[in-house]
Amino acid sequence: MTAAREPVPAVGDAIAFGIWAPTGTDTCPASVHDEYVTVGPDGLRYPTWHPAVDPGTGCTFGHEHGRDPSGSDLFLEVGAIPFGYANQHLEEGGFGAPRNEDHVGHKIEWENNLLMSVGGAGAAVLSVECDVLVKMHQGTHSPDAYTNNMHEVAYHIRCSDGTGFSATLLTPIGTAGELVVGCDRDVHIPAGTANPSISPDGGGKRAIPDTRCVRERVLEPEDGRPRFDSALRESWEISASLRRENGRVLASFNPYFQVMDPSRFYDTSAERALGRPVDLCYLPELSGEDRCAALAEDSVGWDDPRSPFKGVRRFVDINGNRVRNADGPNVWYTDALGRNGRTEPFPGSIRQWIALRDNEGLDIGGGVIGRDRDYDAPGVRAPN
Amino acid sequence: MGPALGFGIGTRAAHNVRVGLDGSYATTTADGTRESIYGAGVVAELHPRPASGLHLIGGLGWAGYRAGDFTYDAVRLRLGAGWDLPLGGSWVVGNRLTYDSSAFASLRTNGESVIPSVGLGTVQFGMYVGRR
Repeated sequence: MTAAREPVPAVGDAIAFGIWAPTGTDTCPASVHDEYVTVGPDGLRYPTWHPAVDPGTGCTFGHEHGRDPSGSDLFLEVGAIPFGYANQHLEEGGFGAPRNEDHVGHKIEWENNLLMSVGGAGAAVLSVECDVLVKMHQGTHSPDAYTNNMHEVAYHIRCSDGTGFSATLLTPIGTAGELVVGCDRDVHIPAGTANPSISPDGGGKRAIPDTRCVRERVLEPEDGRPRFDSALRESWEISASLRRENGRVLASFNPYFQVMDPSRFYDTSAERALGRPVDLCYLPELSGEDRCAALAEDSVGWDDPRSPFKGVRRFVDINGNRVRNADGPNVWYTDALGRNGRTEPFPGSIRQWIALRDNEGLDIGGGVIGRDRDYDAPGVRAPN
Repeated sequence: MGPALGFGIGTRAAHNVRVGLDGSYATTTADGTRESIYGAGVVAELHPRPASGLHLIGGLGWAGYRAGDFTYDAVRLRLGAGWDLPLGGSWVVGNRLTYDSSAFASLRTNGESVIPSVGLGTVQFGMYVGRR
């Protein structure tokens, strides 16, 4: 049995559908944006991947969702990815509060035939080949991730050793209400109350740059050479799992989602703690330096398409793909947090697919997706 | 990719066929772990034209892989070709290109199968000195 699902007729719109509207320099109307739609297994219409420039009209959406998933070898099996599917079913599954995310933060990345190493076995001779298709909600323009640790991930992987699963869930990343300083992971900053306030703590971390990172690596670097990429890099390190009702893990994965050019850094002196990297470019000592080099002399705002900081340079480290489902079945139903896995659907449940495989003793990882890609395109700007 | 060491001993089975035993060892270090490939088996060399140094190689044997706690042991099929040049007396020098292929065996760690069907392929290009 594969992860493929039967097409279902549309019966309504998800909360995530239709929430985007053009602002600023965006030239596409919402009606064109809403043409990029997929029907989820629940029969609701969801937004899905679209190009940054609509090929039919030439208008621009001002944001991008990463790599076109139709090129993935897994696309025929898993289909278009509905954005906001786990968000939609969170409360229905028994969680006591909603968690809805913005539209522009949904980012897709994939790679076919990705060579992965087996932990403890070297990498010159032994390797495993995987097809990987992932979607992460990773907003790097707003204060959302300063405090909110629940983010939607869709993760599809099929490997030559038989390891494979398709998981869609809201995964708590690190501790709710606090961020980890990007340039010093030992420092945790309480940043406020999470929304929802009952967000559970999770494994992993959301490493986000703060003013110290900017000061040490851009404003006052030891060698006098500013390095924006080093200062601003965000790394969201996920420790996600699908679990049975009794808590036993069925599948787990630990990808790291990294963004080199976020349009924010944590700055308590700024409104909503939103420091804007592009503003640094207008300091006399940084004019024309490093990532500021291509900027014109007239002032470019944080949400201007000409800003070099708009979250378009991203990559994903594929780590720790473990399955423990030798006895099956392939299809499990979990709540939106990936918990309470049962073999029959229940209200608010999400269908997950897991290979009949137990890969205990294998640590498959080491693949990197998208390091050399840049999703900048005409009109793309923060918020992206 | 890395260096390999091999040896062989055999005899003439027909005017254009030689048979023997061979062994090989290759090792490299990646990600801090030493990976080693072993091989041993029966090989045959067919000389289509006895006056020429060209010969075809085929064989059957064992291939083993070791890296940390991981082990792999499988039947090995060898195919290849070589070219002898007389060196003086009964000595020859030559080079050869061989491909060893193994499949349908488990990768194991601490004795437990962790991947049920693993393939291992190695290409070896080398020079050798021998006696006819």
